[in-house]
Amino acid sequence: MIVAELKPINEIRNMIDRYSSILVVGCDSCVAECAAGGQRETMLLAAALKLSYGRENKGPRITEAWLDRQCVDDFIDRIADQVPEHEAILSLGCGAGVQALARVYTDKPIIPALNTLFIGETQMRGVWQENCLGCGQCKLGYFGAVCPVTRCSKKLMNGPCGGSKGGQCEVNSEIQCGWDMIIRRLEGLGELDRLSEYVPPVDWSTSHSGGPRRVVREDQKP
Amino acid sequence: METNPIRIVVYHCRNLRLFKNGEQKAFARSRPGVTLVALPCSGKVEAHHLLKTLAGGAQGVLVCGCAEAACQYLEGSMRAHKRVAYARSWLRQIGIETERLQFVHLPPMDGNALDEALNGFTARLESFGNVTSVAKIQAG
Repeated sequence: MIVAELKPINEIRNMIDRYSSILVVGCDSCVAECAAGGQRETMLLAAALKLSYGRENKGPRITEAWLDRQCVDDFIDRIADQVPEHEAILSLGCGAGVQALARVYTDKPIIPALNTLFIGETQMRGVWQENCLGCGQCKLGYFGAVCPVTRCSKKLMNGPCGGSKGGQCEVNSEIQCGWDMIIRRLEGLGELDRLSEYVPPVDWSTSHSGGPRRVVREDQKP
Repeated sequence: METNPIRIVVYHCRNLRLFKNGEQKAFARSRPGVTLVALPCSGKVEAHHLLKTLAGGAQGVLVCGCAEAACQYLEGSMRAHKRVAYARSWLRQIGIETERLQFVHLPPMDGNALDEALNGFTARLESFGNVTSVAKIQAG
């Protein structure tokens, strides 16, 4: 899932102060799971904005709404009747959601309320870990389902750098060494032999470094 | 004569059994401005409830939970405490007194403890003056 976090309220205020009516739109998918932009956070942010404006005796009209997904047109259409009544939309979607809203509602300013951070997993309640960089050439099968591109700070593909201590990375002692995890996992599975296979360096042209990516499937098109 | 009592909303865990049958109404009558909301567990309170309550015109919100070790739902009281702290961090960002949101552990079946907690809370709120005119502005 996409992991994000709410921006500081002052930053949001700087972007929306010019509008007299704002539709605050949450997204109940990834960003709800990471407690950044779901229903709860939408209500929280709307209430916080009302308090913030109320403190200054200002009163823009603030309305709350949320979508199951902000990155799919079929869902985005569900706020179509509310959008014309508002001057701007404050989106609690990830970057993709914000841009999808902008593509659909071309005449409305769409303001992001979140900082989109990474693709990751919920490791435990309140802890989200980045574990996929979306490089476009998944090699997890060679590495016991631990990604060296993401979990190794140096993105090493052919073994540890030798700098880790007690299973922690030398770049930052709070980061687990990716290669420590890979080796322990393969050891446990009895598949350490997988590491004897040479894995070539990553071809970054399939990652974002090759420009914005796009998948087209004719069988899926209308 | 209290023409303009301080508006306080109290979210309290039902398992505290603060009131016997019928006592809650009498208590509320004796405390103008105080709204009592019984919850199945204080852990049902979320940060957005707290901010919404303030944005709706309350001048303070008091959340009453059981002692953490006594919580029937194990984590409810602890969660409520954390959520109040989180909601307070939002008030700090906005520049509103964080003490407007308060969490207290109360002993079970002790209405007097609630009374005392409310006395202290009301006095603290009085020192802040009239909170925000948020409700009036935003209600429209």
